[in-house]
Amino acid sequence: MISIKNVTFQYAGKQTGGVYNINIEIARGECVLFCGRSGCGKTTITRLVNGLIPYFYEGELTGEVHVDGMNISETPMHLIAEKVGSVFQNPRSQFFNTDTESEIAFGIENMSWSKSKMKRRIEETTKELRMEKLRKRGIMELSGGEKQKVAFASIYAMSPEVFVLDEPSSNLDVDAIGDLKNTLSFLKNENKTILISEHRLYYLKDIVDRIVYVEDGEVKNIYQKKDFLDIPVWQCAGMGLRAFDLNQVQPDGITPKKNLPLLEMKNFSVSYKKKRILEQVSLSAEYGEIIGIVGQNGAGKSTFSRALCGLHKNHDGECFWNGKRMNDRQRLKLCYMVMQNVSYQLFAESVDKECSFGIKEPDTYLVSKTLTELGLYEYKDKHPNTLSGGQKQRLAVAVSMICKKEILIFDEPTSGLDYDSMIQVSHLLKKLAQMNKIIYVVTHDYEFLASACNRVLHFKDGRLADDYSVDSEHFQKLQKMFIKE
Amino acid sequence: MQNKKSKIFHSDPRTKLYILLICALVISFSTSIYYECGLVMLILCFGVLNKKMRYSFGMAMLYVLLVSVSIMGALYLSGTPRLMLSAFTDFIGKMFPCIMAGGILVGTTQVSEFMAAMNCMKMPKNIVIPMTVMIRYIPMIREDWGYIKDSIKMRDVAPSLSGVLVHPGRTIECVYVPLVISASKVADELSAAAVTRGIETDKKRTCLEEIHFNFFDAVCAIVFTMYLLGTILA
Repeated sequence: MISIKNVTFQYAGKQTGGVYNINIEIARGECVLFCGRSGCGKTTITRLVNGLIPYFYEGELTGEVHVDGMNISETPMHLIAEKVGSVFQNPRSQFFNTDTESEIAFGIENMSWSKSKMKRRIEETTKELRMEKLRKRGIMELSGGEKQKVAFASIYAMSPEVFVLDEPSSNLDVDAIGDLKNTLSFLKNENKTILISEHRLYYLKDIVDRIVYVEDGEVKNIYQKKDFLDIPVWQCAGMGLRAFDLNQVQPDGITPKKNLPLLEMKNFSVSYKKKRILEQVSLSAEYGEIIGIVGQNGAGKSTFSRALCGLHKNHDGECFWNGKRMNDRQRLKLCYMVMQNVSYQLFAESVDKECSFGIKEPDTYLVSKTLTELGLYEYKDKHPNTLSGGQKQRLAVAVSMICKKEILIFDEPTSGLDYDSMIQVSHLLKKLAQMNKIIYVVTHDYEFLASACNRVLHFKDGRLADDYSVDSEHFQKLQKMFIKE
Repeated sequence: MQNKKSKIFHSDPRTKLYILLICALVISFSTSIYYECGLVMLILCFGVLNKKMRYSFGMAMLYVLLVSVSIMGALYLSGTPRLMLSAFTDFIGKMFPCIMAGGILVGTTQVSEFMAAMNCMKMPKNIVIPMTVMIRYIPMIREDWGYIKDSIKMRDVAPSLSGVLVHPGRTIECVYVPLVISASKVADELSAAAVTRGIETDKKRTCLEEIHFNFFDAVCAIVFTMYLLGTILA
């Protein structure tokens, strides 16, 4: 079905992400997973197949890619599109219409189908992908997982033979990943060929046939599934891979020494546009705690953290710091949120200037000390946007330390990260905890929760359903929530 | 757009583009502020009929504010400040009708409708695709703005009026830099999603929601054309 022969590709003007001497044959109906560290070139391989290379990303390409008899570099993009469907990482930026019907029709409109034929096809598609309840809805109001389902449907409607997925689970919660898994099994039963580039591996356990391990742009090894399952956990970690079997993940958070409660929230209720989304949350937190906030998309995790920061004004209840009552303005001075997309919070033209941005009399000693501590000192003259994702994140943390923030809130800090980077973030959090900060993390990442957090808040149905510490005693609760067999 | 009733006032994207063109022409031919005010009134009616109530009235109020500031300036100021103020208000005032009409175009047009309209007008693909991506990106700016506002607040460089006046450069930097970074990334991702679904096809693109002119389109086109003629003849 797909044959990649002696392919070497180098992006124009970029040092990283290129691939060298790739040779893979993929049969019809096979499901192949490409994995490896961030920037290893696995996404590049998927782009070779869906035609984005060479049509969209410029660079130097040698070798040949054939899909179902088409030579990709000689076939026009719209013909490739009829054979190869692609789903990308960010559900937010892959739809064009504001209602689901038109969006599902987007691809087949391009194939110039008649209106009646399109209507029939939309009917079939939504039925087969079990998404009737998403019909005739506004896309803006859907959750990330639902948006991605619509993206899938739009491609499925075109009935391609090959599905190419680029990190499809990065922005999804546990339930949405379960749905994604079902969709993939369905496609596999239809004998479609599936290529996935992915960091999160566990949900693919029952679906993949072969696993291609990519390192520094080269195919290092191709495993059959049963051989891959035999690789011990420590070796997977050494390869920069996430766990294939979540049952083997063990808690690793340090239990903090008992201190006096520092931050207290009493009867905290949060509303969004007149709608109550969180009712009566009362909790206290102390120095050195790393508190994971879990729950489905839409359970109010983000709104809660924005309210905690003092950014979301629509709430009741009280907050105390060291026994003193604090209003929104005062909390804003104390809290800092590291956003999922850190680019929104970096403004200056160099790392150095970023750290003193907006401060009247910057303490240059503190700036260089903090940068050294976070391993950023050597980049101090670089532009923040030339840094890698992890470095940007650390820069945002550096800023928070220089601004003397006491409460740090991380929003999905590990989405789309490989094992190494995830562990680095985990170390960073532990280090911050040792510096006596209070840390909140909103996350869907089970491995990260196990590795970093020592306490978990579970939001469900508009309230704080559970609040427990991550130790051997309570770890089962977390397991039950994330591993559904 | 399911029931008949709402369809009566659903105008074709081509009509909206035509109105945008007329707005630009009226502005370039208009000899006094009265014509511009009249034009804004017309666009207000058009926006309301297209069910963009809040946006249309909001923009109209903004325009009233702008005009009153310029009148007050003319009455109470003199010398350089007066010149600066009138240069500013005239400049914004000239662009205002087009911005307002453009907002209505973007806010009420489905991307697929827009593409169908472009097809009917036989526009070349390499103009249509960037414009489509642009129309799709505009609503996302608001989302981005929300995040940027949050991060500015946390950095204590608040986007307040006094903040803008004291540090205009820094405020622009705060908003502009992240917005551009995000825009270039999103535009890339949107385009990739579009080309992998065959937007570059050479076949005639069909449309689930078919577009056609109706009575309302004709009325709008005639009213706006008359207004243009009136402006030129006066």
